[in-house]
Amino acid sequence: MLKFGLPTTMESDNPVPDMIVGYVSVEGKESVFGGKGRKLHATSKAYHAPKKDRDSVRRDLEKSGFEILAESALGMSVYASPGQFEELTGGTVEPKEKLMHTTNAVREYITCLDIVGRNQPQGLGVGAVKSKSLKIDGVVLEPPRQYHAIFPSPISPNSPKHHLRLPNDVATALGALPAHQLGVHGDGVTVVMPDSGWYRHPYFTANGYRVKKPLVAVPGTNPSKDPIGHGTGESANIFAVAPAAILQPIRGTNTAGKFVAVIAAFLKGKALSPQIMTNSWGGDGDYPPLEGPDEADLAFKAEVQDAIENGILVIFSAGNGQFSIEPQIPGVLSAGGVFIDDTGQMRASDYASGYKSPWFEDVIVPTVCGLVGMQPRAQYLMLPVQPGCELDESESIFDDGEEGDGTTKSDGWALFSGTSAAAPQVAGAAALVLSAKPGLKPTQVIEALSKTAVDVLVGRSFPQRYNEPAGAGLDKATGFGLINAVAAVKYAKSHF
Amino acid sequence: MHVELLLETSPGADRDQLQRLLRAIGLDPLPMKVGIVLSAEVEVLRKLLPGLSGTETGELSVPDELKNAVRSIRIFKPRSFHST
Repeated sequence: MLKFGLPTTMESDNPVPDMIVGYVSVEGKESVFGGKGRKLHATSKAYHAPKKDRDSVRRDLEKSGFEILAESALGMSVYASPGQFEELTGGTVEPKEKLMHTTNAVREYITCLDIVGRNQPQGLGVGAVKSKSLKIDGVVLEPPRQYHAIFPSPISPNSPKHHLRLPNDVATALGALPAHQLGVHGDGVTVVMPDSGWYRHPYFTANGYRVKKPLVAVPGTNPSKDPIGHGTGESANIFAVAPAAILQPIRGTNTAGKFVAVIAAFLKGKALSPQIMTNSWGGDGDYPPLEGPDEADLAFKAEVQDAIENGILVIFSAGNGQFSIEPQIPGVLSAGGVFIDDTGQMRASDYASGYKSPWFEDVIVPTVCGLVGMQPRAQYLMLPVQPGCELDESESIFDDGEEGDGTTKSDGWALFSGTSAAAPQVAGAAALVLSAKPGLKPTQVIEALSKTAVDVLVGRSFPQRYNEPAGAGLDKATGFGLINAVAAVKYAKSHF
Repeated sequence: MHVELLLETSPGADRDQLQRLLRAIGLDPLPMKVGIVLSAEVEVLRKLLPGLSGTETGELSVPDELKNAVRSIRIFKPRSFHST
């Protein structure tokens, strides 16, 4: 079947369930696990187990805590914890995603369980027992059906609205393709992204992107889910620029999708000591501010600066009109927005915050820019999301006087951007610089990206609040301008 | 409701001992440069702050048993995503 290069099985971020239904085959004259290519007997009689052996296996299993659900002449259906299956087989129970045909000829990744370890058979879900005296032919784990997920296409749908597709449109606009042609892909650079969660969309798998198992900041939340879609979609921007970077997502939302464990998610990411942390979020307050930052914000500032002093490049989105401390923290690389229209003309995005910091001397937000859409909705980048998540639905409907994005509310694709998109694009460019020139300090990476950015001359930052004009050189709407990844790589190679 | 609190430690406070104390009452402290973060459901945080509703803003009063080690307790303001 056509698989778009997708593997038949791949790793899973789903947790192993507390209890598993399995099947235990009792030894008969012949083994039902005779291996591939061997013909099965015409009748099942050769696999029937003697009654005394079935009785013995039943007793042994019940003694080990297995519940016998049903029994036949060949074996029995059992119910037990993963630990009990592991004790029986000597292997480890692991979740795997398997590409399968399901209803309406849809191909989906279904979460199955496998028993892995020394002496375990290759077949998915099949296990051997560790004690030959048990008279057990083998064990089969049934797939836990509660983990079924809708299968979204790895190829993005079209939209009647002017938009950019990932990875190539973004890679081209940000000068990343020539860097790739030079052999610079961001290899080995780890980017931590605290966000709404991360869903293993087939888009990432089909492109061969490397993503570590997501971590969670709220205990008990599912690391394989992204109820908002923000973290999944925006993370695709990293790989558009740096396809060989390694992403470590950290989920900061609770089960309802509220972004509640923000500081905890940042601290957990920082503790991993990655080369880059990209953050597409922030607070909001009065502008101009009535007073300085509060003590809690100053404590967070100290934490961010400590990360930078320890060699982590910390990136924050400038905000979509918001005013908050994160992008203003000295040493932070703040990411604003530049829009490229359908004729190729660039301008400052009116969706993005841009201002001189009233709190910290010589700080302009943003430092540099990525690609961001325009008001009212900034629907600009076609991004992969968890099917049926909040953004999948909200972007597909009429809002702010505008039609939806032309996709359906549960197809796993949505058109959006914001400075949330700019931050991971900038992170991707930084990953290219760091892979071309490992060991650079955050200040050096910022210098390379700033000195080589494309100057943006027209447009204004979020007019309802800042209305700062873009202009020649450093300005308060776009900072140094739109990043140019290959130029930054070359600058780093020749200057450091 | 999930809340994130900053416990600003007093100068010279024994932070390790403070973390042990917080763990002993079932909390999961995350150390920061200038204090400790508690990120948990309001029901869990009530083990430390019995009157906490989760809707407070700014500074909270420090319980007597922490006054030697903690200078202030503040609630982090909410953050939002920068997309649409």
